Amino acid sequence: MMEAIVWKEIRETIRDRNMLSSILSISLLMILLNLTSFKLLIANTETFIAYMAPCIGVLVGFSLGYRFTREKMEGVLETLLCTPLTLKELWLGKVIGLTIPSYATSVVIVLILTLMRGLTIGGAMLAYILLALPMFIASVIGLLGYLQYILGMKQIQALNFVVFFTLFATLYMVIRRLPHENTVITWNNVGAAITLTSAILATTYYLVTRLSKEKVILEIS
Amino acid sequence: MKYVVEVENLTKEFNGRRVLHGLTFHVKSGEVFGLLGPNGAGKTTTIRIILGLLRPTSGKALVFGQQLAKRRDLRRKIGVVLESDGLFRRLSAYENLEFYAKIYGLNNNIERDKKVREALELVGLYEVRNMKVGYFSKGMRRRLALARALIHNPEVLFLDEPTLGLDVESQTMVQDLITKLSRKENVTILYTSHNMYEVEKICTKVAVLVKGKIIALDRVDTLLAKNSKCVVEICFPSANEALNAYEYLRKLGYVVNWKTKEEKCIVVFSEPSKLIKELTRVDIRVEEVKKLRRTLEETYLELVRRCS
Repeated sequence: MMEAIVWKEIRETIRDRNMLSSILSISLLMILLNLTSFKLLIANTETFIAYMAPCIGVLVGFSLGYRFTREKMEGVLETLLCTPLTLKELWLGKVIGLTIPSYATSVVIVLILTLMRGLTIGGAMLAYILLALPMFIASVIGLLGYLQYILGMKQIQALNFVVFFTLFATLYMVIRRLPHENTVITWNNVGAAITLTSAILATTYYLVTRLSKEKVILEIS
Repeated sequence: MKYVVEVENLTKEFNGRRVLHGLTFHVKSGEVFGLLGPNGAGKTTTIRIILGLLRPTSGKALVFGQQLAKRRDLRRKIGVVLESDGLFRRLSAYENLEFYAKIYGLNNNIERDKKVREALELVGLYEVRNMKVGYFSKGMRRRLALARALIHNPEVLFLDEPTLGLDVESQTMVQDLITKLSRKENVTILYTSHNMYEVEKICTKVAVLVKGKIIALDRVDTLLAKNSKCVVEICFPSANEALNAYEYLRKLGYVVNWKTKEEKCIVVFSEPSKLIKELTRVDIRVEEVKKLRRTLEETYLELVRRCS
């Protein structure tokens, strides 16, 4: 059943022309940003990419994550909850289904940036891209999805506003303060990132298992 | 007797405000049970509690003797069409049904494809199976929602206004389908609608819900018989005689409510045998007397009016 949800999400992403154009715009923006302003930054290239990758992934995931709210608004969620599916299966299926395209976009941009800078991907960087990055994107999408389940429409709008501006503000501030010489992609940092994101994902999963259908349904109305 | 749906002393409160007041009703296997009532009467809340989407404040709502919220295996036996269609707008009609078929455990590709095609043909949407649901009209989406509810051959169907927004032809198709499912395949159906003609046509039993209370619960024919005063249409040879008869019958207290039809007929509420006797006694000529059948809509409106 989970597989069906994951494929459905991916299929919907492919069909969503607005979403595809948003993803393409983000990708182009990031590459353009890299081409125009990257030379002005004195940050370590690997570190810069390490910060950009999750930001791109979260930005795409954030745009796709609106589907949690849309399904609530359109009454699809109510119908799905009458099927043998449980709320946690539904949440998990959506998180995986939305993480895949977000992660894929992020990886593609990272690879382009890496090739443009002529970097070689080392062991820690590879672990970061293969493990920490998808975990981070999934934990953010999962948390946003959970919040969209429990919040009312006005609160969701406020949440989206806060997330969007926080994301850009963080991106701006982080880029300015990136370390100059040493890379942040160390085995210790990758391990810490995996632990932290796993904890966020596990906590959100636990919260979803405790979530009642009534809470979700009443927030629709 | 073993009931498919059992609702016992069901109450529901939202923030201390009681919206359902001890509802009790049972639905037998193969029965088409209509839940009627004006907007805000508590129909959707009742269905949501039975479906396990809301928790009752007290009382119980069981399907096959169990709570649907706790039994995922039982949820495989039910099909639902709620107020919203519950369809994915960016997927085609075929993909929507295919997705739900997978959710209901139809894992065999050939069998699933066959089921999806059959369901689409059943609701007349096979020709547009590859069209995105976002481009469908409201009526088409409603029909597709019905196909979705039937894809896994459910034993119980919960249909919340399934014909809303459908044209007359589609309405008839849905009504015939529901009747067929109930009679031939013994599917139990819990049905809500504001179309009383439709309810009268397909439901075997109804409950009338007003302000969270059941004010009438019976078989449709019994309900009509119980709550109907006799309505008689009397036609006279001329409009003048009709007027005289009306004045006479009104004085005697037979006419509760009346209307003229072609100026020669009056409609009265009383017992026809007594009426004719009275009119013959004063030499008022009667051309024709017709006992009119009361519709469910009239009965329903009177019940609701009486209650409020």
